[in-house]
Amino acid sequence: MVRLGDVIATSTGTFTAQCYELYHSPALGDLVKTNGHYPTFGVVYNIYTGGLDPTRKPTARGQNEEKEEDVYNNNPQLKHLLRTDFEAIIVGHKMGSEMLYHLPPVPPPIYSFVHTCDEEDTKPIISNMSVLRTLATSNLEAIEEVISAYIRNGFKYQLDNTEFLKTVGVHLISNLPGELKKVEYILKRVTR
Amino acid sequence: MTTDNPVGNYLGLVIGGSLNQGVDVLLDPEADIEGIGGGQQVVIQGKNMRFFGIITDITLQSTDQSIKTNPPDLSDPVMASITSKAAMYATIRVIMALTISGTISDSDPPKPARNIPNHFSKVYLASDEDINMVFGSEDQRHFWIGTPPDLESRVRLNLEEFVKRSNGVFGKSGTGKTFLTRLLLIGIVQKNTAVNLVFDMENEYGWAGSFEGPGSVKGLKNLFPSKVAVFSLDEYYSRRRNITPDYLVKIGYNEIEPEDIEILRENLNLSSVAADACYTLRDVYGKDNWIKKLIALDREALQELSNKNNLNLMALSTLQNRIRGLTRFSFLEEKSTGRLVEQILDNIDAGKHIVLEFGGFKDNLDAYILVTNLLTRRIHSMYAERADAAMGDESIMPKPLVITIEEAHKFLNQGIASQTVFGTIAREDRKRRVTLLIVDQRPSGIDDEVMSQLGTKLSCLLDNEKDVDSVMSGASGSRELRSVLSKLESKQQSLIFGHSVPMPIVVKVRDFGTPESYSTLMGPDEKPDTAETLEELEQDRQDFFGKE
Repeated sequence: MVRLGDVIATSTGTFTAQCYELYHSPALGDLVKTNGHYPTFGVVYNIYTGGLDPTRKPTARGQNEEKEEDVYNNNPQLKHLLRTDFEAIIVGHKMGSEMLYHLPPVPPPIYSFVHTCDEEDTKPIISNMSVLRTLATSNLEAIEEVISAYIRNGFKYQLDNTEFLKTVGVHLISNLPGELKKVEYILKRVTR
Repeated sequence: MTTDNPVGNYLGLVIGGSLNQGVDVLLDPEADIEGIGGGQQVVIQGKNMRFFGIITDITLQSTDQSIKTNPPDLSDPVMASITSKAAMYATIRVIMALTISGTISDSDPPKPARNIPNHFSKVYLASDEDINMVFGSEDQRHFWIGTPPDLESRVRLNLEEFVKRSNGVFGKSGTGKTFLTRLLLIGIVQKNTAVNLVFDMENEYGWAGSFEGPGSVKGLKNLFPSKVAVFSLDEYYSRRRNITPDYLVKIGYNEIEPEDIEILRENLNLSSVAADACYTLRDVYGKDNWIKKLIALDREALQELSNKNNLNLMALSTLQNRIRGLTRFSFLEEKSTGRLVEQILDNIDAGKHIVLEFGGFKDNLDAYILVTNLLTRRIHSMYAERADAAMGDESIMPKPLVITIEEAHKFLNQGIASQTVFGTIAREDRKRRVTLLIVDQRPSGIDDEVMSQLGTKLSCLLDNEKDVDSVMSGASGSRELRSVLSKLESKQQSLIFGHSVPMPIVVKVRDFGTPESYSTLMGPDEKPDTAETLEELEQDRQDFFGKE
């Protein structure tokens, strides 16, 4: 388990965390979990990097540099003026040792630590199809891509990826009635 | 009551519907949709009772309307699999036929369905056990007529109920009407529920008949020689087939009445004026002589007759020509012995079944109509007299008489059904113990009122809209059953519905024509249990198979 950052904004269905290091965010579709009274699990759906101060936009600095890394090397303050945030949709939480696939009574507090999930956490969540419903029925931007990435992440815990895809596909169709094309789009992106 | 249906028979769940139009069943994805057919029986396990129904429609559906215009990439096995599992589904429509609330017994038979099952009741294909439970076991009343397609169980007609009302066998030419009719007649003989009088136009029922395939099938006389009497209209024809009929039929001119000509009006192409002239002629010449006199008249005499009785000369002349045509039939003679009807009745009294073969007249509809009408009228009136005299006293009531007629629309069409004896029998003579077994390929030609009074209808394939309408008139769930009827196999499948079966059912008509089938038709497991009939059966068996 790797600590990624702290929760900096929180609400019933989503939370936002800031990475300790610039660009050291989890990937789209990754599972992350927070500490706290109700350890909360989320799927990363948005990653954002920008200036710490919203009124001060980054300006172009690479004109006289040969390589992109040089921009950062020659301007060490940048690592402190820029920050990477990521947002996660809450898919479940733990009550004691029990994993529950619905929203926690209260969202994780600000400054909860956010970690990556290890195999022990990930396996049961990936195999629980109700997570797909939470994702599929949310109105988040580019959610199809998030679901594709989430399913792809699940591959490493499966013995038979095709069977896993079939199970996932059936659940997606039933959660997205009348949107077969959307499901087809999601599944295509899993494998290509 | 069986409650554990085999898993393989599970079809799905009730998801909606109505009593009138039937309930919709969501087919389980594992169910073999291609193995399910219209007309199949299903059992629905409701909360408090079991339902028996019939599949009337099967529909392919999808959760996504765009699938029709923009199908998914089915070359991808994952897409193909999940689409078929989750986006596409099938429903079947089932009309309710029966409800069973407990164990079936004589005192608690299955009842016509007035209820429908709950949402999500489980639906199964009926098993052999279910069919046997509903259609009764072999006994003195129930006769094995066939099996449902895809099942082994035996569907049985209640022949005691069957003979209480007039019945009909319908179907296009070549769909197995004759085969089915022969089986029904054998059933009636075997179960001894009535006496048959068969007007056998095509010489199919008495002795071995033809069937479409090699060889021939045994007739009633072959199977039950001691119980059947064959009357023949055509001695030469019988002789050519090396058959000795029990009686030769001769009919005297004096036995023909104006009503017999009237029913032939359409066939003889007679105007109503000409047909009516028969009555005048009978009044003028007397009922014994009017035909003899009419055909002997020359032109002047005809003119004189016309003037004297105010009859149209043209009509009279046409009538004379047509009747002269009829008198060429070899079975007609100037003066009859008048014994024919008595002979028939004597045989009936002796419990014998009568087959009247038309021999060489088999394609002559005029001869068929004339003889059938003439004999039926007389036999019916004598039978009716006896029944009336018995005044409901069962001990002296005559045995039910079933008269089988082919080309029935010629006797029972809208124009004449109300005037002929057949119309009377079909409509109201149940109480007098005379009923009809109508065999026809154009049921739409038969009077609606007659059709609606038929007790049991057995219909082979019909594809003409009007014919289907006519057969289905008055049946409950007729709109839904129509589709079943028009999709029967073209041979030896029949939809049976009405009084003698508890629910409509499609059957594959029982095999008949092999030595094994003959032995079961006369066989030990179906023989009646009275000593007298056992002896007779043994006699029949020896006649047929020779002494062992």
